[in-house]
Amino acid sequence: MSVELAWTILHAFNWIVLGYFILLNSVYLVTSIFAFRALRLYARRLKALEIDDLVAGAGAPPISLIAPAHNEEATCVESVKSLLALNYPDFEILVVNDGSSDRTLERLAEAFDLVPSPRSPTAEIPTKNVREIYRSRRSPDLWVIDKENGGKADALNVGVNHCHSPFFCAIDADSLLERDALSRIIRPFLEDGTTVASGGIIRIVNGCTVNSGMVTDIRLPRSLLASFQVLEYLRAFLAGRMGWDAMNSTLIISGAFGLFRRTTVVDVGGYATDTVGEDMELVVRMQRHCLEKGIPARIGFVPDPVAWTECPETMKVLGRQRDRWQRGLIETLSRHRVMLFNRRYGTIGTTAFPYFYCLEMMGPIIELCGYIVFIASWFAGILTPLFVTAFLLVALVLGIALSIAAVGLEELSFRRYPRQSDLLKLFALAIVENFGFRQLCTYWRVRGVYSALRGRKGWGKMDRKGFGDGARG
Amino acid sequence: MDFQPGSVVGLVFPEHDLATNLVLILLCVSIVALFFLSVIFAGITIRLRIFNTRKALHWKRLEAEWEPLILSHLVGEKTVAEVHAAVLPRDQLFFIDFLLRYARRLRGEERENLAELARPWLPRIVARMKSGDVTQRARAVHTVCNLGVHEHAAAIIETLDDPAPLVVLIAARALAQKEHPEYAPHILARLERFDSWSQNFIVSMIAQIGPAIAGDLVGILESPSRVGRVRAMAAEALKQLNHLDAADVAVRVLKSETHREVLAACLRLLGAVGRNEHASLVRRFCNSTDPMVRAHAYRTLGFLGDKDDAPVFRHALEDDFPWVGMSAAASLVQIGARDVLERFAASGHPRASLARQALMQEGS
Repeated sequence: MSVELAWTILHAFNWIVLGYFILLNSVYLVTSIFAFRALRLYARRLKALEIDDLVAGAGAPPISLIAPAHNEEATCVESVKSLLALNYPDFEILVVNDGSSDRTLERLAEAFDLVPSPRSPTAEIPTKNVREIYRSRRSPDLWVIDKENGGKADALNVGVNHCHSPFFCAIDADSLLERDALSRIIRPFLEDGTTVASGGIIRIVNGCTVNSGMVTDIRLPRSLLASFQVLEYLRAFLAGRMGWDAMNSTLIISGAFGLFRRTTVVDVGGYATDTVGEDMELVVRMQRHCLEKGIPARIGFVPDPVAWTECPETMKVLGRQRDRWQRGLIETLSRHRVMLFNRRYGTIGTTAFPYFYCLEMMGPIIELCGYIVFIASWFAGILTPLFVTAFLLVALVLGIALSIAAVGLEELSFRRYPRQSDLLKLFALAIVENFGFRQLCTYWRVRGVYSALRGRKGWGKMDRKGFGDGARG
Repeated sequence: MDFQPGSVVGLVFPEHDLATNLVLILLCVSIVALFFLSVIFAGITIRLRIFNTRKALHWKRLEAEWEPLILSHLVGEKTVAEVHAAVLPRDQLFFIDFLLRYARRLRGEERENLAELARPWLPRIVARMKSGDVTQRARAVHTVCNLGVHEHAAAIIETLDDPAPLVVLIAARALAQKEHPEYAPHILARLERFDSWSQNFIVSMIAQIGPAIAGDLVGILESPSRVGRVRAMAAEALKQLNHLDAADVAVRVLKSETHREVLAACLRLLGAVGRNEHASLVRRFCNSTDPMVRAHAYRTLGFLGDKDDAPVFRHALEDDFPWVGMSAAASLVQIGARDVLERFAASGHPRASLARQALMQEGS
């Protein structure tokens, strides 16, 4: 009887894995199709309404850039210089030093001639204590808020409290924004007065040449691990987020680059400080708040404003990052599970949330168990080698098809990798990543699930090389 | 139950029964289909790359050919016919696109000369303003607006009734010209169509038409049949135009209106064009239950009031809403009551930084 039960479980699990596999990839295909259409329309829209005209005509609403910094002495000066060089008529920079234990504050003070300066808060989101507020004598639009360590979300909340503009742009202190990134990311707010947040695209700077805080030569990284992430980001942003945006169901805006309407963020109470996925949590909470209160609100993704960021080049750091992302996802989705399959929340409740909950959150566990059960079934003789080979081939070819589709979307829209060799390398990566990298990602995500179950908090350390002039990864 | 491997409908069994074979066949078909899909995707991507590269080279060649001709035409060295002779029939729309790049940079006579080059081929684009999808129509309207707004004004005005807000906005922006206020009524009559666009954007657009439309804006502000947002935009545009006669209209509206956006806009308008005699009315709004209205009232009172209002502002520094406090602090500076602000800044009150900031901003 117990053998029979084990066999039945194995059978059942094979079906679950197959169902999960079909469902997940169908969603990927559907979002890719939506993204294809949306990107084409967006490119045409860009031609019809020149962005500079639009911003100039709108009188360029002021934006406060909030850059939380914790132990960023290697990159903070370069990053701030690049922010100061942004091409936007009216913006200020609030760097929030989150109790750094290195020389972040000293380096900023030396580089920008900081002096203590009063700045009154406009909101009262609870945060750790602010020690001092500085303003740069060299660049009066630069403010540095020094506070006790409280984590990234807490630092962002301090920034929101001290934001005097109708919009704030949350960025990572170690990201490089393209010169026209603000002009482009403000566009949805000008085009649709109900917009409360918009996210830009994150691209990987490893391998590119950076001069004066500007990416001047775009290339794929030399490191294979970083190259895999380039492809992964193309899939995630151009196929994934663009597709979800086309369905008006955006649930994630990357913490590295997103623009928000200040009042809405203040109304929902700012960033949650008890999660490592504060970026996603805020967006989900804003969606939920606006849907529950019947406030017309749009949260969207814009594919052309770019923030360049350094990706991990070692397994250890990448593993920690993916562990954290998975924990953040679980924390957010668990907190808002009332939205799951709930019609009250429209497409988000019936489609996007269930997708993230059932496929992205549970996915790694199902996938890992799938591998184990698959092997067990093979050894038990339930699955024939022919079936195993066929199934693995389907998975492989589907993975390749989706990755190549993402490369195609990039070619269709922005063509950031102009070298033929880079295009061919991206094709090759689409094949090679299926042999090891994807499995590793699954393992890290499973570890994230385990960490979440254990209630682990904290970010883990991220080593940075910095963007010194001429830097190339 | 007597368990027999192969009898249960599962994925695959050692014995290749019907179900197993069916699944296997499906998998094999999927492999072949997905393989071809991958090849097709890769093919499309490579084709796109080749197409884009060729297109870029073609553009580069045409640019090198046309640029000197166009510049010569702009300085009067080449005639329209001479320039057109260099444009092959298949490149005519490319040529219009190319002219569009210059159009945004040129003004006056130079722009007229440029538009002259586009004139014979522009009707093809005009026809597209009513066909195709939203972005195609928008692109066509954008092109015609830049290269032949006056010749095709009637057609452009018709596009103000296009179902797509993007098309309407592009047309409205082109028609909103100081030199041609005769187009303005068409835009003002359709202000409700711009409800999704940023208010500042629309206000800047209509204000740039100039004082000629002030009367129309006053009419909109006073009209209860127009929606509150549109009336607020009219008040804001009047403020940007610094239309002094609008002060009495703002007073009338403030006395009868309850819509918060209209109230706030009228208060801002009074702050710009009002007189001291309006201060008493504004003081009433300092007690509004709506913090947005209160904040604007305190700011306006800073412009219209005097030192006697200092205690009111001092009290407002402690208002529950920081924005109200900030307005009051700025107004204290405005009326010259620095001493009140300095005392508050030194008081150790949680809002003291607000006063310090206002003082610092005054000094900077």
